[in-house]
Amino acid sequence: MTNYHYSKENYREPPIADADEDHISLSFPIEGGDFTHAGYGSSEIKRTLKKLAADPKIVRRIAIAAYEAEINVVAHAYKGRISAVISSDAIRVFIEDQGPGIPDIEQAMQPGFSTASPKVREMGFGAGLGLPNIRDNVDFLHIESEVSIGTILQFCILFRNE
Amino acid sequence: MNRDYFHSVRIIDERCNGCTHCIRACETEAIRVRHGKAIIHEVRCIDCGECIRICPRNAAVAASDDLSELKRFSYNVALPSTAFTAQCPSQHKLNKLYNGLLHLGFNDVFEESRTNSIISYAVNKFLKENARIKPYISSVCPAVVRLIQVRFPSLVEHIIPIETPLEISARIIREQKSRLLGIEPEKLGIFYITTCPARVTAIKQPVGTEISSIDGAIAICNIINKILVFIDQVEEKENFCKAPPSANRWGAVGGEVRALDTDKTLSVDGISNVVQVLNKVENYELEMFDFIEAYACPCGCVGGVLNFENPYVAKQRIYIQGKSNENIIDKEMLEIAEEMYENKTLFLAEEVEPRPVLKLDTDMRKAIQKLEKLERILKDLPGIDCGACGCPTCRALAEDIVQGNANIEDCIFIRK
Ligand SMILES: Nc1ncnc2c1ncn2[C@@H]1O[C@H](COP(=O)(O)OP(=O)(O)OP(=O)(O)O)[C@@H](O)[C@H]1O
Ligand code: SF4
Ligand SMILES: [Mg+2]
Repeated sequence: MTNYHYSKENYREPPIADADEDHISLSFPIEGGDFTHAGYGSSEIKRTLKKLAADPKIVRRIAIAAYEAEINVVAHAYKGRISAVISSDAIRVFIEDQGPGIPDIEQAMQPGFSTASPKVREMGFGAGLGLPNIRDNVDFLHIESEVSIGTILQFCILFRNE
Repeated sequence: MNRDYFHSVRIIDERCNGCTHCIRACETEAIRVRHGKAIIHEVRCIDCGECIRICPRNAAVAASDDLSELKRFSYNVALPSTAFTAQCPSQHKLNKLYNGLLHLGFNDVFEESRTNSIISYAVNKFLKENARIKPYISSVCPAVVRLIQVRFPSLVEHIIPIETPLEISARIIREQKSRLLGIEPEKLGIFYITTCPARVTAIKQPVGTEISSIDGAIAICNIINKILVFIDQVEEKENFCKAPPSANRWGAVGGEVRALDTDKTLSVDGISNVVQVLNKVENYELEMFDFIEAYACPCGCVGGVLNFENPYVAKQRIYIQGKSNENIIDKEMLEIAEEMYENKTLFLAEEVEPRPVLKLDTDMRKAIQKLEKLERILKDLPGIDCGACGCPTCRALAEDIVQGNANIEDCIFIRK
């Protein structure tokens, strides 16, 4: 199993929203190869954030990170799920999939690195910019992957302390 | 300035039978039916006119000015919108209509389309000097600008900070006329002959500038219906058709981008299509484009609800008349464009502010509590979006309940 960890300077783990604290949970399935419906989960997360009082600039950072992570499941894995927990200080997003896994995450994080199939490239993806883009937009990122089993990607974006 | 909301779109109670067609057509969920009548939620309405388009009883209408307004001024200039040029079958007829305006009390006619080339000049120059944001979105359709403020607040910086052709036209008219005729600028009336309620509202209550230079807006259909009564007696005293055909292309979708130097452009028309495209912009999926022209109405401004001609017929006319690939430059306008670009008068004076009025609360904690409550209520509702409660969806009713504007018993399935 391989791991990758990133957190922004000064990042302090926000308290995990427990059952007592007010929070919103969302969860949506992702189907590998289904580019027609790709991005549904991240759109719903975005829509929810707009209903809450989230700063539009932060909403956009979340939208891009969630969208790229969701597309990676569609493009590279078989099936998966995107879930989000929104509390008043932060959003945590979890994307897990059953798929080929990522043998070398450090390498996958390099801008331009891609193993995208010709079909995926035809859909306009495969520039190798998704993962680095996620990292640039989040405050905390953790990836765990096991070859032939799947990948779990988690990230957190804080609503304050810009 | 008075920042109370003015809206051109309104409901005539006597005609409304509470049918609920309009509540579902509204992209900002601004309408509810209460006690059998449609009510527009003012802060949410963007004056796009979708409710007017869909209402089977003509109860949703667009308020615009009346010709009697001309009496306030000693000299009146009509400013027909670009789409006006497509309302009749030939240029000859068009000039007859323009001359007909003189019979209605106007002293002069200035085509809005003449300034389109000024705006194209400005957009071309601006896009070359500013590559920071991709894509920029046209500021021409005020319904789209308001849609962005309300539903896509993070995209306000994508709106190109360039004034609209109608504002620039009015400034040019005022400057030229008061100089040539020696009349005081306040004695000069400038009336836009409008395609849509969005522009009536944009004139009464502009976004991006403090006060509009236009004195009023009169619907195209009202004007043409009046002129048709006496069209045979109209003499063509003057030629008012001064805009080159390429400038008239702006009346239909696709026309605005044809005058741009970049090919990396996208054209979208119809408000639900615009919503889809803006969603993609928000996801950074459309960064390969430099510029998007987006029109709330199907076919572009020829599809505005206050037009006279059918939108598809009008669009076809524009395509045929503007077929040549040549972008003919109106030399007089080009000189003005250069000068106005340099002294910055072509730019919006104020930033377009986000207006995220769809959120549940301004406080995040409270908003989360409300959303939790909303989700709980939603579980009790049937989820079939029947509209009988007067809300566009079950979710919208749940939201109204949370906000204290409705009761669970408003749902007919719960009430029984
Ligand atoms: N969920 C995943 N399962 C398996 N492999 C993945 C997954 N996500 C990323 N990868 C691997 O990491 C590489 C880099 O991912 P990244 O998102 O940066 O680029 P891309 O998806 O190839 O192209 P782009 O995101 O620019 O369209 C991918 O090509 C793929 O090999
Ligand atoms: S597309 Fe044109 S006619 Fe329709 S709302 Fe926008 S500006 Fe008005
Ligand atoms: Mg990717």
